[in-house]
Amino acid sequence: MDQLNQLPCPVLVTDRMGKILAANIDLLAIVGGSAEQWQQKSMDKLFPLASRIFLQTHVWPMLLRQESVRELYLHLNDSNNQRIPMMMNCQMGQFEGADSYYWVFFVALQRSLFEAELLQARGDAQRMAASLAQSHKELKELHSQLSQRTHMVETANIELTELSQTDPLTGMANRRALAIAITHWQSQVTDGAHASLLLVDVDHFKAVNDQYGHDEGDCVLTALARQLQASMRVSDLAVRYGGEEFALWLPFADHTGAECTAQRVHDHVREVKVAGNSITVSIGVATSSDARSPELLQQLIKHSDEAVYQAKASGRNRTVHFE
Amino acid sequence: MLLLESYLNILNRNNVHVQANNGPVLLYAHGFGCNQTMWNQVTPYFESTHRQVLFDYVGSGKSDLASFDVKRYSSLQGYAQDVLDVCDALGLSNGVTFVGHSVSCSVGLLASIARPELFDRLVLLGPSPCFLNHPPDYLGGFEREDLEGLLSLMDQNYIGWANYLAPVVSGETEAGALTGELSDSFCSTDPTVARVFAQTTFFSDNRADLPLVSRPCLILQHREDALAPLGVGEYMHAHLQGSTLKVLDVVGHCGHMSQPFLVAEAMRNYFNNLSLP
Repeated sequence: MDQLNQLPCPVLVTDRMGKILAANIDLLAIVGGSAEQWQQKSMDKLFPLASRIFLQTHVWPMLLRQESVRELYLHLNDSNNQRIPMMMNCQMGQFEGADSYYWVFFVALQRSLFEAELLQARGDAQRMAASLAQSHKELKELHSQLSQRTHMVETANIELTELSQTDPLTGMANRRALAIAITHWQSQVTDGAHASLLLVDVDHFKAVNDQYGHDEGDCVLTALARQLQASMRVSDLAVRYGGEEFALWLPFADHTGAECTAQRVHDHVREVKVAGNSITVSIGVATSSDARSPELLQQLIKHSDEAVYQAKASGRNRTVHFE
Repeated sequence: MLLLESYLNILNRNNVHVQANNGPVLLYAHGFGCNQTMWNQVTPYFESTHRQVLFDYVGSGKSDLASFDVKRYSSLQGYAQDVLDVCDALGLSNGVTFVGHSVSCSVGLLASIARPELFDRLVLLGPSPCFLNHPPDYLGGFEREDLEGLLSLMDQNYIGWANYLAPVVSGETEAGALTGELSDSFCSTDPTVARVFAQTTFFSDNRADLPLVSRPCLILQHREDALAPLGVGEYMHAHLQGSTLKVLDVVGHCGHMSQPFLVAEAMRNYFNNLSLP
């Protein structure tokens, strides 16, 4: 007992059920009373209720299993019934010849304040993280809605683009597509590159419409469109330019190349028949080497138009090249 | 009926151990703050006579932490379902003697109300149907502030845990976030889970369930127990039909660890005195 009193900290000795066998003077200085008074009492009485539960649910199971516990945080009740924060170690040993438990305490007033602040900060951080996670989730939902919306708009745009560049009757490209194709080509070539435009006008188309009706006229135009497509190179573009007028855009085609294509058009068009008679076309050709000129499209249209006029005037079913 | 795969999952999830394969079944359920190893000093007494089943509740011991579901385990019914799941996984349909400590007594009673045919009897060590005082009719021993105090004590003792004070990560936190390295202290209970278990344990009130229990119970009351005072044991005895109350000469709440032979002897006498059908 004297030895326990020489230790510079509160010490308690209990049996394996927590019955007090000895308490040193440092411990008595905190909890009050005399060693005799506490003897044979349950050590539970030294602790506030919360600490008693912790002792019974956490400390004893550990202690009975592994014979020692280290650095546990508990409260002792002092003689004025105030809670004193304590760090505590406990270890099994011998006391008066029997297995016993030695409990050593350290008052931890400062540490307990510091730890309480730490825990408070941790709680705050956790709440903040939870609200961040919530915001993050909402943002992700919004983002996914936005991407979905964007995708829909993109799809609609593609459809609109196709519609705006397509002739509904023949499914061919239209004037707008022609302008786009030429501008696109111009942006990629050096000045001096050749290109040609064929303007193809159906001969006596008004007569077909008048004689056989507009439905038949539409059939002729559709069939003609197919034949025009068949007479082009892969890089060429055929568009329906007006009522019975088609244009063929031939990038990099010079005078000879354009004439060649024009001849193929005449040949293919013969396949289209109305009441057993082949359809014929008049073709005006314009070739230019002003590849970078902003006036290129207008110039080609103007010149090929004049050439068509001449082809018509000189008897139709022929090609005239603008000179 | 569950599929074989689910059975295997449950045996793994609840870290189920079966000792010996013959004799009547003793199913041991640990209390709050602990795991199945707390029964290690009792099981040797029944080694040759019983088939003994031990398990950890999800969230305790070496159970599968990823299976922890805050909602399910915020009610003692969730823990009772663990008991029933373990029985199903082992193919037990009757003849089980449930042995529970502390909060597990309430869990066992709930399981027996749900499936009375499964259990022959229950052994309740240090039971309390409600830890809070409800004067004047009932004194569980604690006020709400005492139990709040316990939660903050647990927090301060878990400071030493790996990562407990580590920066909290924002973004998505899933159930899997609980699967951390577990230290062996506090019977390997994760602090997050322990807090849920503590709240469920200490704020549950199962007094109204006692009259619904139809199976015979042996109440083992510690003579001096800070958690379950004598009055609580007597209350249980008065409200559980066909119950037997035995006061053990034990100070503390863990007689099965501090005086295991007393617990085993009381169980043995109870089993022997029963006129078994």
